[in-house]
Amino acid sequence: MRKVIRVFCILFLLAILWSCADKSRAQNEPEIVVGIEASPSSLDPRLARDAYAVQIMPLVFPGLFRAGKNLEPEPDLVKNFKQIDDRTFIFELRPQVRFADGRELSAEDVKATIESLSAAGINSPYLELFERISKLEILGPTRLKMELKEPYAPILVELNLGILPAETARKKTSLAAEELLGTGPYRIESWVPGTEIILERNESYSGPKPYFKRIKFRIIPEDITRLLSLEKGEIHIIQSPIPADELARLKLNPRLNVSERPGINYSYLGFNMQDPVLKNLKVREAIAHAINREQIINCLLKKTAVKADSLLSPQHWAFEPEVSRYEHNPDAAQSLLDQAGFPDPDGDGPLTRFKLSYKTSQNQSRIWIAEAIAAQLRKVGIDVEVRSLEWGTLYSDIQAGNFQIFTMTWVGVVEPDIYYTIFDSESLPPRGANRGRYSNAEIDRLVRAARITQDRAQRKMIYSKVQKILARDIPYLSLWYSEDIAVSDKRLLGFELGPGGEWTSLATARFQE
Amino acid sequence: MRQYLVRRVLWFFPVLFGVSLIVFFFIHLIPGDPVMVMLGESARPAQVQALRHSLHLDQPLYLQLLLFFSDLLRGKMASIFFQKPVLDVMAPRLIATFELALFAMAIAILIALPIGILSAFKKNSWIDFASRVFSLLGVSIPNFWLGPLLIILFSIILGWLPVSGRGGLSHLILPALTLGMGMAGLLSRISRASMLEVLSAPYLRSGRARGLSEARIILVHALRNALIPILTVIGLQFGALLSGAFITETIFAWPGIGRLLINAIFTRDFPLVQACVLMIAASYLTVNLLVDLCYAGVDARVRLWREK
Repeated sequence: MRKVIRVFCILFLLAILWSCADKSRAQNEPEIVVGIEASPSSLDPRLARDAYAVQIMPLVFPGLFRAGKNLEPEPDLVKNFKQIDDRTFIFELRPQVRFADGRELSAEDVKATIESLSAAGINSPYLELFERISKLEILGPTRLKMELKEPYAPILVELNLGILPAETARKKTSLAAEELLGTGPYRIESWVPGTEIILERNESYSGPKPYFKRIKFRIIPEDITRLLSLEKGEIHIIQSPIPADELARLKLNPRLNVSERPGINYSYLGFNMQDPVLKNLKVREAIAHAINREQIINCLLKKTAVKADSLLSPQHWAFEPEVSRYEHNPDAAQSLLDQAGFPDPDGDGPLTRFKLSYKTSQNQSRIWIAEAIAAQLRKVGIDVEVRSLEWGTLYSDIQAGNFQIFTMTWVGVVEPDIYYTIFDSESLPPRGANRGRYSNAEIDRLVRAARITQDRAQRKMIYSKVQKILARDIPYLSLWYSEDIAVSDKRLLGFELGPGGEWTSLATARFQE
Repeated sequence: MRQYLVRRVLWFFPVLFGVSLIVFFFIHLIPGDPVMVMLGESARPAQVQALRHSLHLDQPLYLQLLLFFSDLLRGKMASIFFQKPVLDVMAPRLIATFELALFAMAIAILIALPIGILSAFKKNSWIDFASRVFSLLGVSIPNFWLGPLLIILFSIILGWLPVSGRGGLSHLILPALTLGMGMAGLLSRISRASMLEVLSAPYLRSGRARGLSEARIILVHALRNALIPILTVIGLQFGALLSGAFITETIFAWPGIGRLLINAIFTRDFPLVQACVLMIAASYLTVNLLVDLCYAGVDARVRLWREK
């Protein structure tokens, strides 16, 4: 027994020594620590599709194009390009762009990266990009010709795919994050899933030398802990989601800087268009009039969102302001429900017109919003059962069409072709995201036409019509656009969030001396 | 003793087999498709089919079960989400959780034993009352409240300790204290009850009559005999700490196995869930075996194996 106790004590002391070991590195050069909510699923640009990865990726793996200020694609690794016809493009890459190992970027790397999307075992979510291309031809060290199988207007947006060196892209096995080299201002130094990602300055970077030697992304899942870590100075910057209740307090902190700007993340209430009650347009209109979005934005979201009437945000080049709007009007809602054949059985009494099931995630803020919407709908005689489901179950139910109403958010809406993915009658899950099984021949015709229309003004006209029809049909009830909020150490200068929350400008930011 | 140990270790296998079966069937009952979670709604049908095939998800359930055991025995289980062998994903997390559980346990024992002993010795005094209030608070205060409270006090107001993360000893104190306080409440209560029972035993009276000091009577003679129920609770609680520290790990951004398991359930990472549960079950079995061995060391009347 004494032996057992002795061994236990030795193990315990070893554990203490292990814990006491200082695992941090000596600090000579400036480093910035960013607090993020969750770990990316992958740091391979061909695989990464979650928001956390997409926000970090451009620092390491720039693509041929990126989203510009008004969300139009603008050249990134491309110096200039020429569109020969509606299917053929010639790209000229920027000269002397180097990977982190010092090797120069070539057209061969671009070709190999795109071709690797179809490699067995990669299972890239961006396979569709490869499938659209019929031929990639190398015309010179930095010149590449791309031919599409059929005209596809959003192709430049999809070419934001991060480019890998050809020899890396051609490897059949999955690679450690540290082996993935890009041409961005940083390289991946290490990645401990669930703990941290450390980026180190790419000394071969052809652009201006970044001020920060390292960017450390620390994964802190709990909102409050993330905020407290920022207040304590353990991390230097965080971005949304930030609990709305805490913002006022953070704004009073003299050490912190809160920056807010209109965002493009779109929250909506989705309807099941095959549901016997909800397929009636008057019911959907009644629900739209019954919900008081301003009240929720002011009270629950503390004015950190802006009321939405369309999926595309007002700063988007294709945004259409002249669409049907549904102001809060409980009387109109009641009248519409009466007309729809759902009279109130007992006026102000306890009986309701009908009952709806409302599915949402287990995020506390989502549950509060669902309960607020349910309370507003009860006022017009619609009984709502709020069901808060774990994410995997909710996603599975929504995809299978096993719901009546639900709320979700589309994050980083940049390319209006998203209308095809969400509302075309052939885009049913799992192939697309028409979760409510909406079907409208006119919408099908328009979103398909917009995909092959190259002229920007013509596309804008088509999407204007799409937005007007959808606002009238209400397969989605637009709720709000969440503001992009970043809270940072006041010493941090020159930082601005990218349109999709990208951390790209950390490469040009610095601490005030 | 060796025979006893071998027999107990051999028992691990049927238990782990049973646990694997239960986990396998339950995880397949949960709604949600790992392929769709991984590929999203832009995936092509052929791509979905290819991934489903590579993960054996297109096979009948009994074949999936056989393939699962085959992968398990060959050490070929790989996480769907991380696309890495499960052992590579789990090992650092398990070390982190073990470190946290060990410290939490040490804190709990260091707080609870003296309080429990003192409380039993000074029965019905104000000390006893205070210790009972402490144990009640310990078991009642939830971790999700205590954790942030400790952060605000020790990190923000006093500035002594870091808020979150895993690094040196300073990073360990607050999460270990959060986890340890609940256990300390329970342990002090058990220690008090167990000591009260022993303190009225006749052999202690004879010890006093022989002129032994009160400290020797309590710390050597009484405590040794009161240890069996305390050890049982310590064993069970340590097992629970290895698997149930999810809330504390989340609050303090501690990269432990609890957080990994919950995230694996959310992403429907079947192999990782199965591996985590098996690892936790094996830890429980090992801790229980160690506790049983300790019984024999503490109390000479307990014999777990036949002596020849």
